[in-house]
This record gives sequence, structure tokens and C-alpha cells, in this order.
Amino acid sequence: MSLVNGKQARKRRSATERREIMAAYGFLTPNLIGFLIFTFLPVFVALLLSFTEWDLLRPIQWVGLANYIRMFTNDPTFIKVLKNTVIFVAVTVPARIVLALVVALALNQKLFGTTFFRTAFFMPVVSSSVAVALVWQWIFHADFGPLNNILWTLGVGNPPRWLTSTQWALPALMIVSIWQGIGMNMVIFLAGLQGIPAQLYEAARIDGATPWKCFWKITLPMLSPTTFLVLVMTTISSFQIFDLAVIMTEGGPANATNTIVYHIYRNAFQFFRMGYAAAIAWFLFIVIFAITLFQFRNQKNWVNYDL
Amino acid sequence: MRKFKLSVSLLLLLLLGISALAAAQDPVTITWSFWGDPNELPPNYEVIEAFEAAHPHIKIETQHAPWSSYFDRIQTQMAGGTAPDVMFLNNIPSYAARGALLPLNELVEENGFDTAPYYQELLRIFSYQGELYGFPRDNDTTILYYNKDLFDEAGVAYPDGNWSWQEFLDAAQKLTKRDDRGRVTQYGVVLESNKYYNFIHQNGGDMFDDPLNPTQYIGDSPETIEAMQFMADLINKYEVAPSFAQMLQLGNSTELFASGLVAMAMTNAARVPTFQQSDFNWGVAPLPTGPNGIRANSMSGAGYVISANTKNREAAWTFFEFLCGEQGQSIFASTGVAVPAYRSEGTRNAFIDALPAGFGEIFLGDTEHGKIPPLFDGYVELNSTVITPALDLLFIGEATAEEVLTGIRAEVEEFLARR
Repeated sequence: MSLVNGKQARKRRSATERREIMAAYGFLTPNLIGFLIFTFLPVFVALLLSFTEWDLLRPIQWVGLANYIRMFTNDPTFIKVLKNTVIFVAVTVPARIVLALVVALALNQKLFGTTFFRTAFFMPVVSSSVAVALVWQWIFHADFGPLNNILWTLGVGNPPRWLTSTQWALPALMIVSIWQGIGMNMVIFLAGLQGIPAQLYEAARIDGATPWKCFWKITLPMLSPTTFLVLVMTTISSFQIFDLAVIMTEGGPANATNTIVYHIYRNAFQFFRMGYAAAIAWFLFIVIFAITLFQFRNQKNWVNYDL
Repeated sequence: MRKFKLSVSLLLLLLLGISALAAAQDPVTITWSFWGDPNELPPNYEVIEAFEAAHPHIKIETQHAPWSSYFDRIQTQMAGGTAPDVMFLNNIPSYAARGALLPLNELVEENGFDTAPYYQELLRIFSYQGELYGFPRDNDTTILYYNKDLFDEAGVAYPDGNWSWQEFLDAAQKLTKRDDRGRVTQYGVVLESNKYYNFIHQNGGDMFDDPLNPTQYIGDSPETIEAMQFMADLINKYEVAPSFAQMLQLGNSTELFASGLVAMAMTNAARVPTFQQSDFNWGVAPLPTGPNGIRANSMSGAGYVISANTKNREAAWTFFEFLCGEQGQSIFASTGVAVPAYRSEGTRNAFIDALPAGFGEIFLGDTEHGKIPPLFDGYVELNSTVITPALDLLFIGEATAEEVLTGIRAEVEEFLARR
């Protein structure tokens, strides 16, 4: 009897399940169609285009791997922008994560004014990139900008020329990008911090753990899934740096702030090398994909999903 | 009876004529695209009004986009085979090379269109491999604007129209002011980075042996190096002009001059209406001459072309002929905004009348010394990947003209060989 009941129960469940699956797909369909048409298809077409030469008007020519070979053998600008982008990512990603964590920890206290500071740190995220870039342009002005005025008062006789120097333009862009990127990461970290059960800290404190030990033994491990998400997102967005370079420096001076995505844009829409631009875009995609894959593979060594 | 017969046959003839006319003159619509700020648009609509009144069977439909998005849009339309019949365009050779434009030699000859009033030098950049593809609307003449109030204040004589580089530099130095920390608070002059050909040509130099079909790089010739070094020295050595990288922060030449923060500006002749709104006295002068007394000015500009894919070749030409002929060009000239590329008696007078007294003669006079800059298929890419980054180093003072101009020789030659 119980067996029959059990069978019936299973049958009933699978029918519901099937209906639910159908419903899920039903709800997903509009999004899936959108994804196929507006994301998957263009990405796939871009892959095909990357093996061709096409200037939009003349017939498309199949050139095999020529575009990929050209990148490394016949385009000094590409080597330059690749270098710039790698340096940019290597500096801004750790900075954006560490600083965001520090800010999040500071603002996770129940103190007066934290709401104000949370808003303040999040402001750059919701501000328009163009407006932000214009203000920073002024801050970095070599002669009259507030930054160099401060440095000058502090006794720096010959402060950096920032955006008008090949040496300092990229660091200047990094500073803006870090400032801009902290807010979003901070909010994610704050959410993660508030998800850590308070009894863990209570228990640790009763056992006599110092706040420093609590941070290393409780906060960081418990926060690791959040950190992982932040790391992946920040890495991807850093590789795609474009708007700041366009508005603040136009990639200059002398390509000092030119980036991969700006190079893609210029090749496609200014030099009409659609195939070559697609090839660089795919190269960037593969690089980002490989790094993300490595991060996912590597997470078992430090990311803790237990509890 | 005879009278009746006559009137019947007359009537028949008339009916026949009307139907024939109606058949020949089915209304046709021609699309015409252009860019421009709202205040630049009225003459376009004036042209349409005048044209449609004279050609009731052709309707003109406009497609307007701001400069920033215009070219992406035209590119897309060209790729899709739906480009406007008549387009306002620049960089003609790069489109002509890709077969997007209708060749005009035959049409010009068939219809006896008179090209003589155009600056012949300017027509060269509207040609590709011996075939004409369009007509310029105006010339990008560069003018030396000067702030009379700042000149008076510094006790410097106004430019007399015969300034040499040296006299220009002397004046700029006297007009530059610094604060106690040595920072410049008033610049003698503001330059534009893409106008360096004026200096090169004034010194008898050039970048290529032929601006339209280059085979040789001559950008490292002594004349060119000297000219570029002079321009860079204005920024870095004499510090009488802001650097171009700084201008991204400070504002462009028009904004800087209009704000009264610089005493002179070398910029487009089209700035008159903007500067007329400023609250100081100012004047205009031709560009200074190089050390050997050579006068040179810019010769380039945007103009009109017909799409290779037009479905109404006849009607498109009819409109194009009107637009690029005496009538159309006079309408643009009478705005006084840009130096007309079509220099008939009518357009010259219309232009001079539209400007403050004395201006038009100076603008037209210096335009006579116009020389075309390089413009060939692939130039945009060569310029932004090789030449501009090199000149950046020169203009921010991290390298000399000789270093950068000899330094890019190998890369430029390789690019030219690949063409």
C-alpha cells in the first residue's frame, strides 16, 4: 500500500515538475530569443568576420589567419595597446578589490554617518562617465589643477604633468578608474559582510580571539564567495576600459593611454578594417575567457561555500 | 468649319502635350543628407525651397544627423545599399576607392556643367584616379583672429597682413602673461593640432611627394622639420601657446579665444558668428608668412557627392547641379559662415556682403594661397596610428621634430608600399 502510494506520489511530482520546467522555459523564451539574436549571433558572425577582410563596401575576402598574424607581426599599435591594457588590469583590479574591501569594512560599523559615506562612495558608479572624466581632466590639469596645486604646496617642485605626459597619463587613468570602481565592489562586499552570522564572531570572542584574528579566520573565509564574484567581474570590466581613455585623452599622448577596446573601435569605424577589428575582439574574448576559466578552476583553493 | 478643325486639333495637341508632360514628370523623391548644428541648417532648407520651386516634379527629402553620428550612419547605409542619393561628405578618396560614389566626369561633360569657378586645387581632393566624385561646398581657410583689447593693453601693433613668423612670435611673446609661479595665465596664441600643414607649407615643406598619390615620404626634409619644430616651440620653448593635450582640459581654440584668455587664434574662417557674441573687440588677418616669405593656407573642405547606388540618377544630378552651381552655392555664400569653394562674382559678393567690412577680402585673399594636405585611401589610418602619435611626442615636448619625423620614416614607407 505504501509502495503504491509512493509510486503515485512520484508520478504526481514528475508531472508537476514537467509543468514547471515548461513554464520556466516559457518565461525564458523572450530572453533566450533576445540572447540568440542580439548576443550569440553577432558574436558568431564576428568570429567568421575575423577571418576576412571587409571594409563594409567592397566584397568580403577570406584571409584565413592573416588578421591574427598581423596583430603580433605587423601592428606596433596593437602591441602597445595590449601592454597598456595588461598594466592597467594588473594595477586596477587588485586596487579596486582591496580598497573596496577596506571601505566596506569601515562602513559596516554601526556608526554615525555610515549611510552618508556609503552613498558618497557609490556616487561615482551612478555618475555619467563623461561628466566624471571632465571633472578629473580639470583635477589633473598640470598647471592649475587642484591635484598639482596640493602637490606644489606640499613642496613637490616639479609635479607630474599627468594627462600631458606619456609617463603619467596611464597612471592618471588608473586613479580615476579605481575611484570609479570602488563603489560597486563596496556594495557587494557590504552585502557579503552582512551575510556573515554574528554568532561566529561571538563564539570567537568568547574563545578570546583578537579582532585581527577574527578578520583573517572568519571574515575573509566567509567572504570568499563574494570576493570571487568581485574578482571575476572586476577583471572582465578592467579589460574593457574604453570610455575614460576616449574622453580624457583620446588614447594619447602618443598612444600612452590607448587600449585594446579603443583600438578595436578605431579599426572598425575609422579605418574600416572590420575583419581585423573582429579578430582583435575575439583575441580579447579568448584572453578574458581563459582568465575567467582559470579563476573558476582555481576557486577550490580559496573559495569557501560551506556554512 | 476650318476654325473648328483648328481648335479641335489644337485641343488634341494640348491634351497630348499635357499627358506627355505628366508621363515625363512623375514626381521623384531625392534624399539628401547632411550634418550640422541647428544654426547651420537654414541655408540647406533655403536651397530646397528654391530648387523645388524651379523643379516641381522633384521632391527633396532630408536626412540630418549631428557630426558625431553622421559618418557611422552613412557607412551603415552605404553597406546596406540605401545611402542617400546626394550626400554631404568629406574624405572623398576613401569612399571613392570603395566604389560608394557615382563618378561624375561623364555627367559633367554631358551637361556642360561649368567647373571653372571652383578652386581647381580643391577639386583635386574630390577626385580619385582621374575621376571627379564631388564638389566642395566651402574651403577650410585658416584665419588669424586677434583680440584688439589685449593687443592695446600690451601695446602691440595689430597684425598688418604682412607678418612673418618672427613678427608673429614677437607679438605672441609680448601677449603672454605669467603668474609668480611662472604659470601662463594668458596665452599669446592658440593653435589647432590638425592645422600643422599651414606651417609646413609656409616653410616650403611637405609630408609626401604627392598629397593624393604619395610614393615617397619627405616629412624628414629640413623644411618640414624646421616648420614642425617652430610650431612645437611655440608651445614648449616659448610657451606662448597651450599644448593640445592641455586643450582637451582647457577648451578648444574657439572656446579659448571667445573667453578672452588668449590674444590670437589660428582657426577656421567659420568662427565669425561665434566671436561676434564675445564682449571684446577683435579683428582678422591673413596667416603670417614663413622665413622665405611663402604664404600658405589650408585647402580642404567637405562637399557634395552622389551615391553610386542612386535609383534616380537623372533627378539626383538635376538637384546636384543646382546645389553645386551658381544658385545653390550663392545661398551658402550669403550666410558668410564659410569661405565659398565656388568663386564666381556672385558668390564672392554674397560672401563679402555677409561679413563685417574688410573681412571677406582677407578670407578670400588668403584662400588663394591654399594648398591641399595629404588625402588618400588609407591616410586616416596612417595618420592616426603613425603620424599623430609621433607628433604627440613633439607637441608635449618629449621629443624634437627631427627625432619624430625621421623616426617614423620606416613605418610610413612600409605603409605606402603596402597600399
